[in-house]
Amino acid sequence: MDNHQAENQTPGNHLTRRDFVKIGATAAAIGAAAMALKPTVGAPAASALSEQVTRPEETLVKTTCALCPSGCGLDVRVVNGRAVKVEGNPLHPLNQGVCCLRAQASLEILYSPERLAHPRIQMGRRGSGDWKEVSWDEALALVVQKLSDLRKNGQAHTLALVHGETRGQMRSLIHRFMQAYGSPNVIGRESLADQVARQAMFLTQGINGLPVYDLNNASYVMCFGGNLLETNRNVIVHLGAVAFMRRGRPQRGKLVSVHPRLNLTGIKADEWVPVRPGTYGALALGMANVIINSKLYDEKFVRDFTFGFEDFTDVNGNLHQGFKNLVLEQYTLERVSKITGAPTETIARLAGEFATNRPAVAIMPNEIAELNSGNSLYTAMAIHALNALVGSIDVQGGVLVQRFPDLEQWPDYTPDDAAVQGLSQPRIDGAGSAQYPLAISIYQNLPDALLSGEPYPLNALMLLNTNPVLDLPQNGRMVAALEKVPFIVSIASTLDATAALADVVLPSATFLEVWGDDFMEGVGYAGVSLRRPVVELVQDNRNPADILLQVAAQLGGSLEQALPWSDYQTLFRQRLSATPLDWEKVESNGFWAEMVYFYAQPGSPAWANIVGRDRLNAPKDGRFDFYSRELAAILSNDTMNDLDCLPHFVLPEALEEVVHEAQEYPFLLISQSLITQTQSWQGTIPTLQECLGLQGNVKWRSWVEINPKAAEALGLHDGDVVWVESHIDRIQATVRVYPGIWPNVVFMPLGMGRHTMTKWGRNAPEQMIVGSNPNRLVDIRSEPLSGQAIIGPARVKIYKA
Amino acid sequence: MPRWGMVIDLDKCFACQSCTAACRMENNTPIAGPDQAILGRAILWNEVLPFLEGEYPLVHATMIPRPCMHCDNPPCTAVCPVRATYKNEEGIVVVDYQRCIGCRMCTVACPYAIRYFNWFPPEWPQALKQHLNPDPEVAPRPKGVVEKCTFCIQRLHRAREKAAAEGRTFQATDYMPACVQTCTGHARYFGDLDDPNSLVSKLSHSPRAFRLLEELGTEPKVYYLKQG
Amino acid sequence: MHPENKHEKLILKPIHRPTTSDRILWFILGGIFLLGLSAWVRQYVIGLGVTGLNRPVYWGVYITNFVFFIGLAHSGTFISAILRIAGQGWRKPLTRAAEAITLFSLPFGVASILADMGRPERVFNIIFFGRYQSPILWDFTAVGLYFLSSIVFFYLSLLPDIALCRDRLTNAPDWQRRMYEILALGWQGHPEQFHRLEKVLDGMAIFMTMLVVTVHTVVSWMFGMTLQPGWHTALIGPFFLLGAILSGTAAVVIALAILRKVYKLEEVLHIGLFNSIRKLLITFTLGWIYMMIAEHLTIGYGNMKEEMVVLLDKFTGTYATIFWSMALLVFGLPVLILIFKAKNNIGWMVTASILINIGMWLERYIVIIPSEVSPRLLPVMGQGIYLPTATEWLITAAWFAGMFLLYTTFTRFFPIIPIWETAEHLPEIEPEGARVAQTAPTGD
Ligand SMILES: Nc1nc2c(c(=O)[nH]1)N[C@H]1C(S)=C(S)[C@@H](COP(=O)(O)OP(=O)(O)OC[C@H]3O[C@@H](n4cnc5c(=O)[nH]c(N)nc54)[C@H](O)[C@@H]3O)O[C@H]1N2
Ligand SMILES: Nc1nc2c(c(=O)[nH]1)N[C@H]1C(S)=C(S)[C@@H](COP(=O)(O)OP(=O)(O)OC[C@H]3O[C@@H](n4cnc5c(=O)[nH]c(N)nc54)[C@H](O)[C@@H]3O)O[C@H]1N2
Ligand code: SF4
Ligand code: SF4
Ligand code: SF4
Ligand code: SF4
Ligand code: SF4
Ligand SMILES: [Mo]
Repeated sequence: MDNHQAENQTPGNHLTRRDFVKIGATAAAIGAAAMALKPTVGAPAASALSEQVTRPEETLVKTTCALCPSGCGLDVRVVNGRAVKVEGNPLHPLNQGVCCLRAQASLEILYSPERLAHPRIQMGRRGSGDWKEVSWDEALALVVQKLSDLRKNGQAHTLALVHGETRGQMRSLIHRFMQAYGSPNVIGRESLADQVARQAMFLTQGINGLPVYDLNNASYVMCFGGNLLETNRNVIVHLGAVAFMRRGRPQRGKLVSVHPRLNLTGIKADEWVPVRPGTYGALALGMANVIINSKLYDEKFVRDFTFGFEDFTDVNGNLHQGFKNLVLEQYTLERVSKITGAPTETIARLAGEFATNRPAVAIMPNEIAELNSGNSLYTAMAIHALNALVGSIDVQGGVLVQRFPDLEQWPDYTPDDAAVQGLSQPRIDGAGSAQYPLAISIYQNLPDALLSGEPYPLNALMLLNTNPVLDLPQNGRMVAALEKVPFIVSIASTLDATAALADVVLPSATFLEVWGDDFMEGVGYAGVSLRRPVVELVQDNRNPADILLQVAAQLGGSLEQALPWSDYQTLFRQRLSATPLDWEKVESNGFWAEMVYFYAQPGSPAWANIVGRDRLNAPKDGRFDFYSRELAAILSNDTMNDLDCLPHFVLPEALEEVVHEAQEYPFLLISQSLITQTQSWQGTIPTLQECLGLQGNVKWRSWVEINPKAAEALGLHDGDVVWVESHIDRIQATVRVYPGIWPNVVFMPLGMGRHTMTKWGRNAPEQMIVGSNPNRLVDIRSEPLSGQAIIGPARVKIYKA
Repeated sequence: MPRWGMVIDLDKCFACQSCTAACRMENNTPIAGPDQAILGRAILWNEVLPFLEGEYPLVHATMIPRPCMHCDNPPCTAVCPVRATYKNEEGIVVVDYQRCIGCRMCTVACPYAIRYFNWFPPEWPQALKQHLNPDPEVAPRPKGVVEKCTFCIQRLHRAREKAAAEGRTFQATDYMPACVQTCTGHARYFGDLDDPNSLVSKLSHSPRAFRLLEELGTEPKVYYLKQG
Repeated sequence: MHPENKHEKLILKPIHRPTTSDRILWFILGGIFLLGLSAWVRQYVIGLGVTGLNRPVYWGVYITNFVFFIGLAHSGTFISAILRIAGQGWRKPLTRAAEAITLFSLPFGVASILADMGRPERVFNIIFFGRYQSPILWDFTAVGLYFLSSIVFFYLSLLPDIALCRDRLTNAPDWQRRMYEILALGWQGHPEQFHRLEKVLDGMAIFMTMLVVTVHTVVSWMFGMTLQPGWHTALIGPFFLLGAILSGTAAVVIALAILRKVYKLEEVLHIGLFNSIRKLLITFTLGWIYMMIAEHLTIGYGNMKEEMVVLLDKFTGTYATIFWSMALLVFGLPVLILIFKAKNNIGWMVTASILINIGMWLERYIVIIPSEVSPRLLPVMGQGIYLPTATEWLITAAWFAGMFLLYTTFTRFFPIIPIWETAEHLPEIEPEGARVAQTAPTGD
């Protein structure tokens, strides 16, 4: 008998006649009774053994994760047509064989009982739950008819497409679809996410893209807000890189996390610097003050490759203030310490360490979403200015620029009348207007635009992979706003809070069942990962991209011309043919990547791709702008002053001590997502719920973290159920007394408050809402210029429920 | 015979809980659901345990991922009245689910509280049963018995079978538990502690190495490397 | 040939046809028992999840009951075996009442274990695959042996009285007479037999005394052999044993007082007996508090981190209320009552004994639960919680009801005061005629 069987022996098999003899006659009767009970117990083992005889068919399928923007390569173990285990693809350069817990739990998405099996049409009043399941033909015909009517009536612009995170060429496919359709209203949720980081890159470095941090080679990494190791767009790359920074090379680097809360990044960092929420910008400028004052900055780089460090005179002879004097005058240690709450010695020490341990990088969160306090644009610029100060632009261990694979041009097409007419209309969300000149789309303006009917009412709304009712601040408004739209179609996998209010729901397949492409990000060099079905469609679902192509084909006109592909796979493969890809290799490895990043020498021809490449109004002179010439050009001359173009700090409203609410609502609420949550799936992922709140060991519910002192003052104890109330609404949570949080700040996790119709666990109710959604407590406001949503911190009070 | 052991480098562990989830998906531990989870009955063989010290702002948190220590001197097997749990020839401590009488003496005896009891029959919504790992060793455990980390013993069996099928001798490196494979910080190492050339053996002799509750004399085969 | 006992009639009086109040009592106790039994069946079908047990509190009320029942069981052995060896003649009227407690609480100790097992149907695995390295097997063996020898001991000392019943209770129902007939095993009451019986019982008493010490020590080792803070002490054995004897003796007081009252046995169970037990109880509570202080002082003085967590949890934390009430119930109040009030006062004796027994149950609980709630890895695992559920209380109530049921039923069919042991004269080797004469007076 081999080892394996020996270990699997069961007493059921063991209980032989021999034992009977041993036990003796009197025990025999007892033994017989026991024997009678045995077989039922031993049975599973027996069947398991026979299963072994007929070896199951087993394969490893390579695909790409879509549960966060990292885009890891995955190996899925498929046995007899069922996906049974997910691993990281060991060849994949981003994740190198590992994957995070969301990918691990992704099979609970694939086989989720909450998935919608068929397209459905709302028969009764919207939201009444009176659904009728229909065939795809029927559902698509209905959608196509509505959309084509709008085009016929010259109302193409009154369709808005609201979409969530997109990967690969999906985003450009969506834009092309809407352009050919004739509506300017493509609304992504970047205003809750990475828009402002891109804008800061653009206004300073002249690059329209997210910064890439070369942590593998950095000696000093300072993270201003954000959650480098827990959420973040490139979390897997960062995890690997920080591990390498610590133990993979001779010289250990240092990681510093600045945040009011001790999140996982803070815990695993070498130093945690708590600051008042929303004051990162001041901290960065205070550090700049020290660095400049002590002449620790990279003088050569600053002199030759930046603009606006010193005061300067423009072509008209006007004198302008430069970064140096602004910082020296305004951001003295004492003042910054007062704003941020960090001791002066700490700020000075951090500045010294940052400037002398090069290469050093200052990281702005890619997505200043969670608690943008209304100053995110200048904050991000201030943080990035630190990188320029120490010459960390495109050097080993510094800030890199992400490259992408070359793509074939989209084929030409002639927009038809409906398209031309529709596209001449303004956007409903105000993006690109004088108020928000930098914004591409402003997701949070959607409810107001719909409710006011300004600039014009919408006739149809198409939701793709997004759930504004849950994601948007003050989400009750979104519910009311949806009432105003005559026709809503949602492409979603579950009946999420928004889809529940739609007229038609087109069930989208999960990422494990579809073809797709995914650009590698976070490493600098270009690469593309392949997403492909690992199992057959579990249900009657379709790839959202294919749905768009099918609708386009049926709508005809310029849409048919613009998108002449029958399916997304053909589309992305064809367009990628501009990059020399060996598709066989891509299929067997799961990806293609350049694998090497070429750094550019400042001033060299390659430098043009690093600084200034995407500038529209400012000169492409290879100079990093401390003083943003791009902003100077965008802003009108009469009202503009120097401060508008320089990184500076504005105290968030919520932090002003005179705020009349301060007394009634003494706490500042911050929220953030956790590593145990994914924003790409509306349903419940039970395993993630059971890993939910690590620090406080919380599962399946929302909690509010309170500093021990504050809890004591309120007479609250760990485990108490409380109301968290803002001037808008109140929600319930369980108290977690947590020493790792700023004394008057409280924290709640995002992503909670979802409805589930599945009974999770034996004594659970058939339906429930898992946790509470902190977005319900927050106002909807937008930051000027950037259009970024101002979400935090909200002022709240807390009392026992 | 190899003596299997694990090393977890806390300097590279980012408390991501990928190991926790990987272990569940590999080993078919059931879903507890909200009402059972709140009672502390969730079964996660490899939890990451938070250890918070100090007061704001000088808070020090240590996060300890905790599989079974597969003690060389395991208090859990000593107390089992029916040898339903035992240390096999390769030092892996396993449970015979068909023999266990559910007395929970072992759970009480394990100082690391890593043994889990099946308070109820395991449950999944019907649809989710499709993703269960079909390996016979990890067939869902019946109610009333104890279960725990096995160092993914099914993977050891598969690796041996594979080596045999390919006609080569089995190497220690052929075998890797699920939590080690997925570890995002590449912080977990696994191998033969008795092989002086193996990575785990070398790391276990690192000056940073320590074991949990080492003073109890349980001789855990899971080593940790101190952070920093 | 039967012994000569002036109280014979009095003692046999309770053995009559069950009255309505008997039936009501049986019905209530039986009802509670069946309710608990069905709760157990339900628990078996659904899973142990219906209890409040969890991780890390794997053992709760059932194990508390187990320890408590085994503790109660010490009463009989203590009174009849230990005092027999010590030559304490005054014990004689008490022996059977005490031994019956032993006999009827042991099965419920075992039943408590069965209730606690995840797979009770696999209990025979302990026989098939038993390993002697496991404290559970020691328990199994010790308790099993204890139970078996208790039966034998009890039965042997009952034998002459069964024979007496067989011969005296001639107007009992047929089945009852047949039962006596069979159970008497043809006992004739030859002086030789009595002589031998005494010898056997003397011998067994020594064995039983050894066993009783072993059993409870072994029970404590179920805890002591683990490395859990609060359990891993050498004192746990003697401490458990003393507690067991204390609660057992107190239980005897309660049983005796009830018997005395209900069966009007004042003459046999005279106040002097209670006064003798009172002295024992005072000694035991004092001994108990001594151990208590010794144990906690060592732990407190040692000031080891994990141990202190448990200690403080008991002294000032979650379990402070239970802990201090326990101390009050087992020691504070009883010692005062026993010293100042209970002399010549059965009411106070019973009060003290009831307090002691409630207290001892709590003591078992407080030894078991807090250690589990704060395991060694507490700072990382967080504090456990444990709240017993209705199922656990039902089963607990049922097991106690079952014990009372057996006890009350027994007293209805067998003399609860040993007639032969308390007899003035045992049959001696005498002429035939004398023997007849002796039996004559009770003939009518
Ligand atoms: N207060 C606050 N609000 C926030 C944020 C914040 O930081 N603070 N963050 C914002 C950010 S950055 C984001 S990204 C959003 C996240 O919010 P959303 O982008 O709205 O993401 P989800 O809410 O998860 O909704 C995803 C939808 O996609 C569907 N889906 C899942 N898998 C697939 C698939 O494979 N294919 C298709 N077609 N559909 C699928 C799901 O059923 C669900 O309907 O939240 C935003 N909201
Ligand atoms: N586990 C997990 N990972 C995820 C996701 C998920 O849901 N779960 N979602 C993915 C998606 S869609 C996204 S968009 C990303 C989001 O991931 P991140 O980019 O890490 O975004 P957040 O976690 O919202 O953190 C934003 C941080 O910005 C800081 N901040 C707020 N305002 C300002 C400001 O004005 N200046 C500066 N410097 N900082 C500010 C806040 O303190 C907050 O810590 O994560 C991705 N990764
Ligand atoms: S990091 Fe993101 S892409 Fe990578 S496995 Fe996790 S969820 Fe998927
Ligand atoms: S850690 Fe616990 S369960 Fe694992 S071998 Fe050691 S004592 Fe046994
Ligand atoms: S619960 Fe099972 S494995 Fe544990 S000691 Fe009891 S019989 Fe052995
Ligand atoms: S070794 Fe296997 S069973 Fe053990 S914790 Fe890791 S994944 Fe789980
Ligand atoms: S997977 Fe690795 S990094 Fe993540 S918690 Fe587990 S051991 Fe730590
Ligand atoms: Mo996002």
